[in-house]
Amino acid sequence: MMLKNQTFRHFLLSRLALVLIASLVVFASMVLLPGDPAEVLLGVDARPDTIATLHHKLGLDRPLPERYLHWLKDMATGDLGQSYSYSIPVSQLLSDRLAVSAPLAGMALGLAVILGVPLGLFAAARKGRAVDVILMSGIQLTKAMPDFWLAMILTSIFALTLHWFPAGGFPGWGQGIAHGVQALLLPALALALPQAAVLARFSRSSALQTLQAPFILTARAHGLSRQAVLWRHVLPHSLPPVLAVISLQIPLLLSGTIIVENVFDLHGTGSLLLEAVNQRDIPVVQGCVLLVVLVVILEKGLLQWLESRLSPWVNHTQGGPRS
Amino acid sequence: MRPSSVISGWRLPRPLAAVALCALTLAPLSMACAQPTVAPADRDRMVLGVNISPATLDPTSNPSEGIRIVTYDNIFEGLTRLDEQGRLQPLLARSWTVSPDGLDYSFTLQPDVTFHDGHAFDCETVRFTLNRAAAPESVNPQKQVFQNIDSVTCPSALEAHVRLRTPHGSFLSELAWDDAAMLSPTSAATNGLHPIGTGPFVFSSWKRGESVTLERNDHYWGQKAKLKTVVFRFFSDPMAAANALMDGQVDAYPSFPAPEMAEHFTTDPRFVVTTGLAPFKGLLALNNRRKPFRDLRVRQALAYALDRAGMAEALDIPGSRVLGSHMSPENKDYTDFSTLYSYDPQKARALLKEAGVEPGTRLRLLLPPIGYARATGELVAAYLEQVGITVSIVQVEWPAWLSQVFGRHDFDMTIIAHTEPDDIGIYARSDYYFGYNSPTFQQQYAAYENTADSTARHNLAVAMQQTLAHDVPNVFLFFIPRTNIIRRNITGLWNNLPLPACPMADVQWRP
Repeated sequence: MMLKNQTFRHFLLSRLALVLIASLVVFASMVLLPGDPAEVLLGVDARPDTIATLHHKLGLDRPLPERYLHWLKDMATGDLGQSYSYSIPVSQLLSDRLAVSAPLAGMALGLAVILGVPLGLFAAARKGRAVDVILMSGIQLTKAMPDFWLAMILTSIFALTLHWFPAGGFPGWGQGIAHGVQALLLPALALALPQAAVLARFSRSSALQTLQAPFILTARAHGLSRQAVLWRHVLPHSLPPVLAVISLQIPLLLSGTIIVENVFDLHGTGSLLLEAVNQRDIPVVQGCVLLVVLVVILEKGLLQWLESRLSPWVNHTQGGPRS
Repeated sequence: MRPSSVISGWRLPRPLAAVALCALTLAPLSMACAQPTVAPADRDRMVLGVNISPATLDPTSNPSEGIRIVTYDNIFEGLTRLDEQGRLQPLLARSWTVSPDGLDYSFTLQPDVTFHDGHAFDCETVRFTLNRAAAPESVNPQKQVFQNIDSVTCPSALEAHVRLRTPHGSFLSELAWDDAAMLSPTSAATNGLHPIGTGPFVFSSWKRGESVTLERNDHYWGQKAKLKTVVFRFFSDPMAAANALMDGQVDAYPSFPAPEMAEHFTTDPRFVVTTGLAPFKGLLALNNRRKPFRDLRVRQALAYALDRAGMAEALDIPGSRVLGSHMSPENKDYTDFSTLYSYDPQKARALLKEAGVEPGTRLRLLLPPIGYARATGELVAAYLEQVGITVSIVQVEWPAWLSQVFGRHDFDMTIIAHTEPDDIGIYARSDYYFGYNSPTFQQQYAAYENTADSTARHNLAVAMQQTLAHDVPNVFLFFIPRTNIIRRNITGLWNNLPLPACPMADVQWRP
């Protein structure tokens, strides 16, 4: 129990340190980047005294350490600060945008898994046969497609030609779940397909490795049906490496949404971050990055727990939690 | 037995296969619930596409075009207004008189006007608005216009008297700009989040970065708006904007961001594509403070070195042409001096030699992240190479460009379009980014602002353009008209754009 508590504390402290380092790096890089939020807001005709007035209003005339410490202090009380450009709390901006981005990333991840993993196993089960070769070539091709290009192709086929989906925009969840899902499905697919291809490759090679393990033969020798062996033994044993790949893909999905959000005119966290960087809206950039760091920490923890459930023979607590 | 042969007979577990199949067929299945809107479902409602998403909805605190498009003459109204031709019209001021010395302006105000929050509009509101814009803590983009106001007095509730410190001939048309929108003292502080004006539309909702919705003001003092609901939708990606038009989500897109894509819509019977005049002045701006641009001969050499007609053509935008001065063809004072330095690389080389600019001289061209700047930058570099100047292109993002070029004047050349209306006065500001310091021009501009007489103002405007054409503080490159893509049965939208605005009161669906 004692050890567990210590491990937990170590876990928490190391994550907190990570958040702090990330926020400091973001703050420093935003300050070092040329550009000034007041100049961006006031545009080309602004006179120096007007810029100075806005600097004072936004608190940009205070020393850098003071500004950073102020942000830290606010953050400790759960306040992410106020957006320079929108003059509203960063938390409000983030929660508005997350209502689009979280379901989008979730759908993309779900689609990537339900398309990628079965295809990988299917190909593994048919290794070397024509269907395997065709599948693997298709996967290679999909992997090479940039998501914005896929997004454009999907829009022109399914939205502008067939009219099955809206070409862009998000009506808001207030219009009903069906409309929301319909609006997000194409962008989710654009994000999911390249990821599904990666997952399919990994699932295939992981399943192939498992199939070569002696215990599969033993299981077969014990009279278990092929289906049963595949379900009970091959799948769980193939999943941990696949889960590791998924955990690497989540940050990619979060960042990949910027381009896809633009093409589909979705206003999620990706476009918010891009906008904020372009306007040097430091509190918003800090908020977005903090969110990404938290999501990554959470998903790593969750996947670790999942892995330990799937393969209890691996001791995950040894040497502290992995990150 | 080799493992491969073990697995050769395996099949995918059925439930997994079913899930995969479902996922693959999910898209076609969902067609049942898809209802693409092609025809306008609601004749009381219109959706317009806008290029720039505003950060605030208060035009008196931020110059963003996005704010003006949404609010000008829709939510906010000024004492005066500009019509589609850029002509001055009365609005909240029914009439006015100007004293012969150009210092005193007496306005008669529109009676029975109330703000959307119920506050009455009268001379006190005028005084509040003008004083607020001039206050030291004001961040009004045109603060200097208001700081020239000596006093605002109210002989009666419906009469306002404004006295200027120095005569300023553009005062009445600057009062028409959104920077001078009349504000209610009870709501001025919160206009950024919830704008309150006297206009024909009231603010309804704002999804940041996405859209702003306005509703008709049923208590409007003038002619009521035709549409009940107007939605301005913001697009950062031209492709997404085009898709939204094709898809029927957007009904009209004035100032479509990618004119080269507009051709596609000309063949679509649902739309009409029009081009209109707008104050677009594309420049190769030169840092006049720096060597070698301090020398007039070098600036002239650059003007000779660039085949500007060829460049305008290369833009491949219908209606683009060579710009003659720092006024665009939509301005009644515009005078075309574009042939003063017609393409002549020989002359350019001779002038550079005369000015002592060695062949191989390296100059930096800073480019902001805008399509026309990046495309034109390559051409400029190629042309200048022909006359012996080596150009290194530096591409920067917008905030960096603002801080480096505007803030620190750290550049040799840059390409930018000035889209503000009537902004020739920037050449009278020697502290401005290109650092043009000409006593002749400054005198001409002072005389121009000193008079309200239209003939004298026109003559002075022509003289100022002549001075600029001779001095080449910047090389005037091209003018691009704005492209509007509009559903065929919409009427009332502005085709020209004398200033950033999209007045919606007269816009409607044709039967």
